[in-house]
Amino acid sequence: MLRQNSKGFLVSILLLQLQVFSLPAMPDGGGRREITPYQPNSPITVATVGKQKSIGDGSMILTFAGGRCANVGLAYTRNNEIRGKVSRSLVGETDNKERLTIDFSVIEKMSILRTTESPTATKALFKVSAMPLITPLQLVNTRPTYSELVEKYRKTYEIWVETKNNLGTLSLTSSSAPGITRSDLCGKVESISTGSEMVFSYGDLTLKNGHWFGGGKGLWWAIPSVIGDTKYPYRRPAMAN
Amino acid sequence: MLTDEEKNKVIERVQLERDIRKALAEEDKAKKPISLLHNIWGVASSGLGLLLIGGVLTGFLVPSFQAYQKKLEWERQIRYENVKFNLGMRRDALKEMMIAGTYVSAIIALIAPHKNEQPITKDEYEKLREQLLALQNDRFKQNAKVVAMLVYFSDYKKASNLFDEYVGASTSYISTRIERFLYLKYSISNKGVNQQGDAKELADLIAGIDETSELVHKFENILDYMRDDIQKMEEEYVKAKF
Repeated sequence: MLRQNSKGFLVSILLLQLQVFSLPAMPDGGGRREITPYQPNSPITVATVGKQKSIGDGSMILTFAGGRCANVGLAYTRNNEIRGKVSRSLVGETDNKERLTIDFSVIEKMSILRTTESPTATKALFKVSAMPLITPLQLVNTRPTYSELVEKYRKTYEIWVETKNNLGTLSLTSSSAPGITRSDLCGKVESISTGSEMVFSYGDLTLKNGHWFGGGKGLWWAIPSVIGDTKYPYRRPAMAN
Repeated sequence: MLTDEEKNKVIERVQLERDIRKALAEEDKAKKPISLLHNIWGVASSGLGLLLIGGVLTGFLVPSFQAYQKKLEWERQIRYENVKFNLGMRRDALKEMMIAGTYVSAIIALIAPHKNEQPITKDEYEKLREQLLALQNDRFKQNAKVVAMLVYFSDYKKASNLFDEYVGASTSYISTRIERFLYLKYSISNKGVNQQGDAKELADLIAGIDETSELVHKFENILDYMRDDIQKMEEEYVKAKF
């Protein structure tokens, strides 16, 4: 009987081991850590937030029907050559002729509503959804939560942008890494069809099997008060640190 | 005395009667064939038949029946041992889970005396951080024990998801509230930092540090699942035992 029992015990252990090897992704006991470029035990200043925002502006990924531009920028081109400086923001004016600049690091998505042509320029009306529309100074002084950012600092704008003028044709650029001054052409804005959605995402974040991974360098607004909110979405497995 | 002639007549009559009986018997035999059962019974009841039947019973049927009985007993025993082992492991996992839950309480107790806006010195800050780090290390080890034991529950995926949700929430709570709270308590008196923002964040943390309802809820979720599963296994154990 003892021999039979030990046989049964061995069989159950074997089955258990087989079960272990076919398990789904196991928790590691460390939980999830918020993805943020900041440390909980370091000061949050306008300078540090401003630096992160600058990194964020230059490291966004734009995905649209015609392709994908990493570390996206905007520049006027002539004969497929970039003229002047690559911009990391959408610059234009509202219907009321007010000048408006929306940095890439706050744009969630945008689309072209319509275009108009005049003898001097072609303009496109962009509908832009942005979050969080807050300055580094406001962020550092008010220490909002994530819920507050979503509630108070998410806005939609309509902005006229010149897509063709005496400088050339407005084009999308991309570069191999953030901060690289040399950019390549990624597409012309005029080739993007009206109503087609262009989505911005953070270059240093990837979503795999329902979990976020990456350093979150572009998450300039993810200061401790923001990530302390349970609604904050960007968390990674602790063992991925 | 019978004469020879009379004797011959009697003999002839007896002979005739015997022939008639024989003819009738053969006719009956032809009309009613002997049944197979009757034949088998006939063979079985013979000496050789009884010997063969005895041989089959002792040589084949009895050992087969005994082996079958043994197999049933062996299977029941394995099942019983499995259920007993599994139940023990689930009970141990529940104990370990309860211990895992105490670490957040210990960390809250650690910072409780400092839950005010008074700054702390660098020495105090470093000492508190060391204590926090030690508790965190122990918490991770304890969590790992629980993780390893979740395989014994009937729905591993559900158990691990519930546990992961609890651990995720507690890790977030400790890093974004406790660690930050201690840092701000220390750094608030330093010149050059954003005092307006830091003071606001510290006040928010003090007000929100006792808000642990989400943590408690997630802890209860995994605990409820474990208890229910253990109860089911206990019922199975009773069935397997008898």
